[in-house]
Amino acid sequence: MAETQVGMQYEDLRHQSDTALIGMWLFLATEILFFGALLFTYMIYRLWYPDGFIAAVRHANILIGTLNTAVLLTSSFTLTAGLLYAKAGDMRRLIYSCVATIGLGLLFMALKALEYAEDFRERLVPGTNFALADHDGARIFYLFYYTATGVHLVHLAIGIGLVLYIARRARRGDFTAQAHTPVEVVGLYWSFVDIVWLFLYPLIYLVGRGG
Amino acid sequence: MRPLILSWAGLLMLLALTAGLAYLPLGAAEMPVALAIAVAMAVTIMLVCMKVATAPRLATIFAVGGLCWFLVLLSLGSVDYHTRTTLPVAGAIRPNWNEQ
Amino acid sequence: MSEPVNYLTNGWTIRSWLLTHDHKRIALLYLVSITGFFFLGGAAAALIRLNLLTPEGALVSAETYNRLFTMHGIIMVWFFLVPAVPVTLGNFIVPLMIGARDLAFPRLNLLSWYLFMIGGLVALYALFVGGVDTGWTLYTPLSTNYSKGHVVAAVVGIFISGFSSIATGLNFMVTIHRLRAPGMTWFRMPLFLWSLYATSVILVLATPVLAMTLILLSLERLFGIGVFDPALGGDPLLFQHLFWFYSHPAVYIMILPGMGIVTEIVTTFARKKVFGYKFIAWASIAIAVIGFFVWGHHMFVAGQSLYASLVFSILSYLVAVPSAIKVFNWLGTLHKGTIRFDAPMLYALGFIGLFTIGGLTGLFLASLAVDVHVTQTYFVVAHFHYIMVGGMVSAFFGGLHYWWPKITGRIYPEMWGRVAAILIFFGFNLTFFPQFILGYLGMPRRYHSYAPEFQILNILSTAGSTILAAAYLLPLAYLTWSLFWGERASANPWRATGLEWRTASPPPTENFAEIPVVTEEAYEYPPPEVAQHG
Repeated sequence: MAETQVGMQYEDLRHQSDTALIGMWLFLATEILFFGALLFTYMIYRLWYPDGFIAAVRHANILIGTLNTAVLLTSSFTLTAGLLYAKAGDMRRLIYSCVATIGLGLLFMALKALEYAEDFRERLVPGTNFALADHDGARIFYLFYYTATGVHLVHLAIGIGLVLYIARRARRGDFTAQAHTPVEVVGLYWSFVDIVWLFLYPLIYLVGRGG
Repeated sequence: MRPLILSWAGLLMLLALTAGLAYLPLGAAEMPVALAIAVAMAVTIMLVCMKVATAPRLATIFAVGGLCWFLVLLSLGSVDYHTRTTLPVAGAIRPNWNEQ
Repeated sequence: MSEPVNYLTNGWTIRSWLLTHDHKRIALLYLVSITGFFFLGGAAAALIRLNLLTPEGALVSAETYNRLFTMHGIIMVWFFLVPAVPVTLGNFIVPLMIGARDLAFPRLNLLSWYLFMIGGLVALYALFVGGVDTGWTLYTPLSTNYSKGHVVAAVVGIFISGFSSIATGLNFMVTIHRLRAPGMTWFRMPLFLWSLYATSVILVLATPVLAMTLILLSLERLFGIGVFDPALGGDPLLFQHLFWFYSHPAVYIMILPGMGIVTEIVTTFARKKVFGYKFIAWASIAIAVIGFFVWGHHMFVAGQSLYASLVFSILSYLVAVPSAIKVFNWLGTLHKGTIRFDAPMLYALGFIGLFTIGGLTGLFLASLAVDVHVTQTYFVVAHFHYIMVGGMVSAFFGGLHYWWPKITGRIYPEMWGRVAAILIFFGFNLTFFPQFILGYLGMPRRYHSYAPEFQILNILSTAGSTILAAAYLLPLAYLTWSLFWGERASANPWRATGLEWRTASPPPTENFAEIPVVTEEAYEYPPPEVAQHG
């Protein structure tokens, strides 16, 4: 059973834990700028090519998109439940929560893979034989779509890895009801990945479908 | 645990709402409405899952700072795009920005 | 009598260096890498200057010339100027200066060195195997559609090193917020920390935008989506907006740490409290913030709307104000000080003068009408080299000499230090002042040949660069010499204020035997007696 080590630059465990949380929040702030550059690109081209973007949105698979959003939302809550269990000292249920979260994350990826397969079948890929070639700007929508969802998937994969990591540490008995900062830190990251998707969802699947 | 489950249910309802609203002919209001609901959902997650309210104050400052900087990129970056004069070029794809 | 264990002697295996968590060792790992990159970038510069001896540019072909200035730019910007001070002097000094035993996240620190090395090696691969010819600015559509170089590989290298930057900035920000010694309030911190804090803010906010821009660039090049291609409905200027949103703040990443070093050196060698502490502190923050609002001044003639150009021009004038305030404050500190002209001070004085010239010429460029005439000419080249080389590199060398005794426990030979500083100043001006004139007379940049009437000034510039090259090699020689045969340093050889001088030279691994408690304001001269050794 490993004691939580306090680095020699810290006064005590609390000092270290709070600093870790602050560090993760700062990292998430940088991620806002990372995705933000892509959203800026989206904004400009949406204003230039409303028709192309609307056409592309209407071709998006809203069923899978909405389902995936629900899956991710749920996964945020399973992980947060895990954090509550950790605070209560119930490490067994923490591990179950991690497993549930990972399961939901993998489900998201599977649904996304299905969606990509369908996109390819319907030739919704800019290149030769592009289905929406006569809609100005649709190509750029798809650049945004594949890049945004691709980068999001990478973040999700990393998140799954991190949740696996804390599940393993929990099994090793590294955490106590008082000391479980890695769980909080990973929880922050996971929720952030969820929030990014919450904004990608309307931009890809919803806005432009009306009427 | 109960607040958690209630928030989760609330978020699923908001999700259903925004998906449903997408089919209504709201015109120019579509984007602001969808984004507003997304913001509401994001804030819920930040409060309930990320516990932003009880996080160290510095953390909140960093989060807000990142958001502000993103808004700087959006606003100052679009000054150019809002003020350009685009001249039509025959036969090429061009933005229909100025043609309303 | 055996020496006390210090961070250098605490473990001799390669493993203990390559897997270290000690910020001081990581700083040295970086120092070696940075030095390597500096000389590589310098070699490219040497070939550029040699080629420009004759109007026909007979030394290398146009294609090779393009690859040379691209290599020079990419290496110097991303693998020298952006990282240099933060990762070497910053990494070493910040915890000491703040009274901490390490940075907030030591393992992240080590990771950032590895990311830097990997990114650097990938970029070097691209630059040497085939090369990149787009200029460090990678403008579309050349970089996406027409260049035959290894653009994507170079971009991947830069992308990876970007994570190193973000990690370093994050580490510093959190450290400065959370690990200050008891009694060290924000306004008692040495100003080097304020400038590194401001630098770190820029690092964490700007670099992610570059990362996404590079992704888009690569996707465009690989798949031709059309995000920057007008034929497919894209806007090539969008690339420039995204690129400069990072790259303009990046120049403040490059200069702010240098300004911080100058404040430390000037106060120490004038033995005087800094003039206007809060002005300098807030000016650093102002530079970082306003620096984000001016990027369009790189795009005045690119097709940006006139209105946007106006806005960016006004904001660019505004950003000069905090820099000017710092210059006045340094002069105010020197006034009636007890000045010693040791090598670090010579570098700092050189910085003040050269940075002022570079900064003022920036204002010429910020003026729309003047910019139309001198943009993309050697005027611009001279402007930024005055700031980056005359300013930043001088500051780096100044800081290196100033903290050398602390880092290595050795004193460098003072006479050689002064000779090198003066030679650098002279060689620098001879290299770059003619370039202001060349630019004003109309010689464009990034051309391997030029009109014959420009030859004399080019010859002068190349002559200067030869002196500069030799002058840069001098410190490499005598600093290395001092490692083996230099006089051993005491804890506070300069009798300076600052917590880093209250521990042994070199410091023990844990930095301080006991964490000091701060009771005075910064720069209170004369400082209290040095308390203990290690």
